[in-house]
Amino acid sequence: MDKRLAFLIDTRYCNNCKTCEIACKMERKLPIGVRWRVVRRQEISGIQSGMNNPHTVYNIPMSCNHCEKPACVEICPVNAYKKTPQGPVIQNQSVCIGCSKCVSACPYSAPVYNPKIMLTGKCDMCYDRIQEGLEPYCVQCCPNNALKIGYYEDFVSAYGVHQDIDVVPYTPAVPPTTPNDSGNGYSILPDPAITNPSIVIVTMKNNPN
Amino acid sequence: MRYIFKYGTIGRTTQAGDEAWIDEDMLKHRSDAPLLVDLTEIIDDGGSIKAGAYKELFKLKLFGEKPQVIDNASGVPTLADAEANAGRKLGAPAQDPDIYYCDLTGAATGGTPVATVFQLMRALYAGDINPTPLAAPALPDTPILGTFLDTLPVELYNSGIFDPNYTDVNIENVLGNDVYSLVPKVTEAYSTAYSVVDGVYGKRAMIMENMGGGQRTESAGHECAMHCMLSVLTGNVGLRGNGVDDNTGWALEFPGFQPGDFGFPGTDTAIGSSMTLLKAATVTGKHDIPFGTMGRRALAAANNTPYKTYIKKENNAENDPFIGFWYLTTSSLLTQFPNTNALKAALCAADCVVTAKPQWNTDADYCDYFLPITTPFEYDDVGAHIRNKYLHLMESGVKPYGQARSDMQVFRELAKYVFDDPAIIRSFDHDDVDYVKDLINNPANNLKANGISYGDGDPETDLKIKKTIRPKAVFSPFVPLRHRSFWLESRGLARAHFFVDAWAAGAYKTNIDLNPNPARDLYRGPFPRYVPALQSHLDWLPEFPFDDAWYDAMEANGVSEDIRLDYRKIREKYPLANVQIKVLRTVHASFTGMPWIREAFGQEGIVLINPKDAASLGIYEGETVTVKSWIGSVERKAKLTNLIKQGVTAIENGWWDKYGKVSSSTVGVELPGALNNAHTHNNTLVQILKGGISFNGNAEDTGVK
Repeated sequence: MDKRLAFLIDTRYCNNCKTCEIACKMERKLPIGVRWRVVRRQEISGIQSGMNNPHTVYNIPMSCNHCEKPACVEICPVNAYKKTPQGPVIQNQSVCIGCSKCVSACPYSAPVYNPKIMLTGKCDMCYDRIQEGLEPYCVQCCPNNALKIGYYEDFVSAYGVHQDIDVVPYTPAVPPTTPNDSGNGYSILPDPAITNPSIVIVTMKNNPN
Repeated sequence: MRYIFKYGTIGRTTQAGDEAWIDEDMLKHRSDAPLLVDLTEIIDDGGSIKAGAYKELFKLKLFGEKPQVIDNASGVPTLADAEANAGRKLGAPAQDPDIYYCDLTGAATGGTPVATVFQLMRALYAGDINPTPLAAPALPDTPILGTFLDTLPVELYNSGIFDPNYTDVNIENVLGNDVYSLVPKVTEAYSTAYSVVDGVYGKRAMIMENMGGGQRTESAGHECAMHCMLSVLTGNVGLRGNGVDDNTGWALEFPGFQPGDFGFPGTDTAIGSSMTLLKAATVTGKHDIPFGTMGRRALAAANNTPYKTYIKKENNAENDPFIGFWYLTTSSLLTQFPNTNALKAALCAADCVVTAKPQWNTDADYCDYFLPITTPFEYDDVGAHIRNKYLHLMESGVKPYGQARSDMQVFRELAKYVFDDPAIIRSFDHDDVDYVKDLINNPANNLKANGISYGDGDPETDLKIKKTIRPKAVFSPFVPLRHRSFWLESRGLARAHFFVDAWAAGAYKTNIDLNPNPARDLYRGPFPRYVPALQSHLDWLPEFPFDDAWYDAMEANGVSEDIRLDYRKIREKYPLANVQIKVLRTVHASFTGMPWIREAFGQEGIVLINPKDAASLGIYEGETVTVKSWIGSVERKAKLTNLIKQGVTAIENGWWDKYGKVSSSTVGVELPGALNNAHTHNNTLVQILKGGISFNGNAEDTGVK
């Protein structure tokens, strides 16, 4: 089986500058309110992160994770999504009917409904750029090299298996204060077994050096 | 909008009709312009000043503090008594020195050829010592360019990068038909600002507030020189109740740091030493306008009421100016300075406020004229800063939007209208590229010896090729604008100094009060001397109301019991110590107006609260709360996090009025302290109230409109 392309998210270097978000919007000409890549923040206590710092913040710039078992492909009623052999999950927006079922189905909330055109869209790993031998624009623009594109298998061999995503498990550091408040410390990442995402997240825990 | 013209103010004498802006009265009686310079070393055989005389400046001597005066009866020049001249009131028909006279024969000085400082200054700029009468400036009848908005590319409206609908500015009010047709009006306001203190007509008062694009570039030195020159030549310094304040960045940015301390290249010298500008508000030297207390002082000045600190330490009515002209260059006054409400009121009370900056933020909402300024990505310069060991060639990456120009270009336009004098204009009149070339290749700057050149093709030294160069550690003094330098100090009769005393002393150094360092003094060069602002923690020690140590210090310093008790009460009422953090998206408030940025970093201001504090206050995550100090309130969304200690809150600094519900500086008290280096943002005690400002009945605290 060919290697699959994947994003490497190195939380050691991401400082939440959001250049990747802006770069994505510029490259894909997204209107206000539509973001395909979002830097998610996770605050956890030091013990939970395996570090000595009393408090730790993980910045996780995440877009579509181009899963091996993509929920969007499964649920789309018009078969707009396709898992390509190289790895990227791409969408044929011309057949999209804007039903937003993919938005609900994706455990990472990667597809985003665009009210301006009443259709749904998502990161396709800059598929056109990849065909030309270029990096995705977010990767190219990241000033800290916190985002990389490469083969999932290579990333895993270098940094660990994909289960290392779960270095920030559900750990309610602060009790919820309202019914709608999940408190500080809740996990922002679902179980990777659901869709087998093509990302590797590097943290201080699995790569302390 | 409150623009008021002040025609025919006192002291606005003219040389050639009513349209000349230069203030000869100021020059003759309140500056060293009429003092005589010994030209012995730079006179050629023909009795003329040698070309390129500025290279020989170190050999010059000030003949004495005696203005040259023409004896009206005989026509023979004599040396007048400086004290008698300098002490008299403006306009009084006393001895009238001639700033243009050149006595190469030495008739008045016993054979020593002399020139006046003013004359020499013009000669050095123009290579011509013959005095030229000042001509009336030609104000343009027609707009220079089209309207600002018309020149904006249409796609910018739709890109989210620039959208006038997102600005705080009422564009129709602020923009005329053409932005730069405003320059003559700005110039007139600049030149005719006046002050009234205690009912005494005090002529002019202005604040030049500059944290402009040149702050960390070499053109900063040029801009500083222009600020100094213009203010003196137009008579905007030197009298009670007026002054020029480099309020924001430069003077405060560079105290005590000189290349000799770090072995850094001499580029720092140029910037650092030109940071010291004309200190504001008074000529007595009693105080400047510390930016920590600027709002209250400026407001008091505008209302002609006594300025009072919280402990009523001083009554400074005598020294507070009426602000006639306020020039805000890029510094974000209403998001950075403490006591934003007072600043807003002060801006409203000022005669004329000009805001010149890239972003149309809250400051622009309080100005009479708005001039669009380029970002650092839109013009050419050389970057250099004490925090950086390298010189960077800054090349424009994109064209400016519309009519935006660099700070230096705008101020140069202003200067041109102030002086229709080719000799003086020439010193200001470079375009950006020319400036960079001149800066680097001018032999006087001695950069080649430091391994830096521009455009000569040398792969090792050409900044145009290498872009970034670390100059050699051992360097000769690098002093751009050496011959444009300028020194003012409030010495005795508050004479503005064009002539650098160091020249007369024959030594290439000046007196430095701060951290004496012989090596640094050597490299200091003939530039304005740094005068530390009166806002160090030592000045404010008795006023710092934070903990018992300070309370004890107050007692030790003789602060009375009732006042000390007041502080105890304040601490009881405002139990949380508030700090201000930067919004994550950017430095200060710069990009708040950009919708994409706000989308990425959040639309609302937040207050960080420790969950235990929140629990005791009954505050939930995401709830709207009011953060209230004794001088203002802001509305924020509560964010509960363990990242902040119990007993401390944090609000973001950098929101505009229109976004994020006013800046955190609205609650910032005016008491700079030891820990915050003149910033007062972290000295504020607050209370947190459930609900928004309107809910708490404090809507008036949101600001003065």
